Amino acid sequence: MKPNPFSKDTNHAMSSDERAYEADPLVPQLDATLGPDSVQVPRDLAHRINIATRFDLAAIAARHADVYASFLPIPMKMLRSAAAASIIMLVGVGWWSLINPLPSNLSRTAPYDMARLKVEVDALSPLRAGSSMDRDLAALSVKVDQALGGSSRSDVSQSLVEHDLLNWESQLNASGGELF
Amino acid sequence: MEPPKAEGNLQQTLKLAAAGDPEAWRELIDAYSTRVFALVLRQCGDRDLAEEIAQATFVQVVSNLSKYKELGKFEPWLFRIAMNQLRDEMRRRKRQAQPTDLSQGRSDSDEDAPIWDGNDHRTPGDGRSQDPLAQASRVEEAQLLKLAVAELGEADRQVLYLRHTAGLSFAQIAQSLGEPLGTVLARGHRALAKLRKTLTDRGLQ
Repeated sequence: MKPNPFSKDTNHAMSSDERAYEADPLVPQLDATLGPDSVQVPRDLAHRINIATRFDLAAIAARHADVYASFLPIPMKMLRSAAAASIIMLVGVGWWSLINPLPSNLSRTAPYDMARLKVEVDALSPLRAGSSMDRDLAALSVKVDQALGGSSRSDVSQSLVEHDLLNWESQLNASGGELF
Repeated sequence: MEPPKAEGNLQQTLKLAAAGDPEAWRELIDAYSTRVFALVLRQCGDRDLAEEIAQATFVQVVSNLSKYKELGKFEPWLFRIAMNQLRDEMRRRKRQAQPTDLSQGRSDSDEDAPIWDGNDHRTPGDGRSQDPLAQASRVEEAQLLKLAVAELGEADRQVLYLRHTAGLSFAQIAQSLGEPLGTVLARGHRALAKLRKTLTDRGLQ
């Protein structure tokens, strides 16, 4: 296990009760028996979580974007006055934003990630042209679409691991970025 | 962009991650994913579910990171999210969370093995891991200790997992559970006393 680079709880002075607990001879045994090092962690767990969170952020941002977009045609159909439509649209979007604020980190990263990931996974096909990976990549592309539609995070990240695509960024860089 | 210098600076890393910095976010995942996974696995005994809950936990964290104000309580917040995610999933599945049940063959499961086999973290020269008989004895002691932990009440067991698997201090455990420090400490001491009695009854102490 990698050591935690962040400091532990150093702000807290231990009470006598806590010191008594820590001094108990059973404590080192419990550390060894129950500690995180006693658990076999799945290979690439952190990488898979990173990918999964990107998928989920993309899906969340996409849902927000869809709802924002849905405000556009409704007032135009219902009202003939462009000014009135604008006001209603602004009020509607403002109201919706108030009750459904989009976290700043999503608005900055997720749409870019969603588009980039989709393009990059699709773009791996030419890199593997003629190989047995073609069909798998097609299936994976469907998986990505499903992910953006809310399929299981584990399924998608597991697919990326199974298809050896966790290093897709380096593969694409090695290709000189011509695919983009 | 330069990678963030996060050594000992959780607050700065959290700010960067909340602003959408992928390197900072990756640092947080690297630092905490193993402990989150281990904590959930200890409580549910299901590796697939533990990974799913770990992923869901980090999704919830990143979705709310911009609203989170670091006041030295990130770890209690993180592990509380993980426990809530597990509880909600268990409710959704309409069944009770199963503690790690070593009496039903779980001693053969891979998560119980590494520390006592080739991944032994003791140094070769410490004289302990070189004696097969002594090592076998320690394996047996560890299994009996896990059995004794599994027999504790849920509240006591949860404190032990948060303390020894998640690595929280008692103050952080109290924050995470939303209970007074004294209550949490009392549970810790009670758990140790029960463990000692169980091990003594079985001739180990």
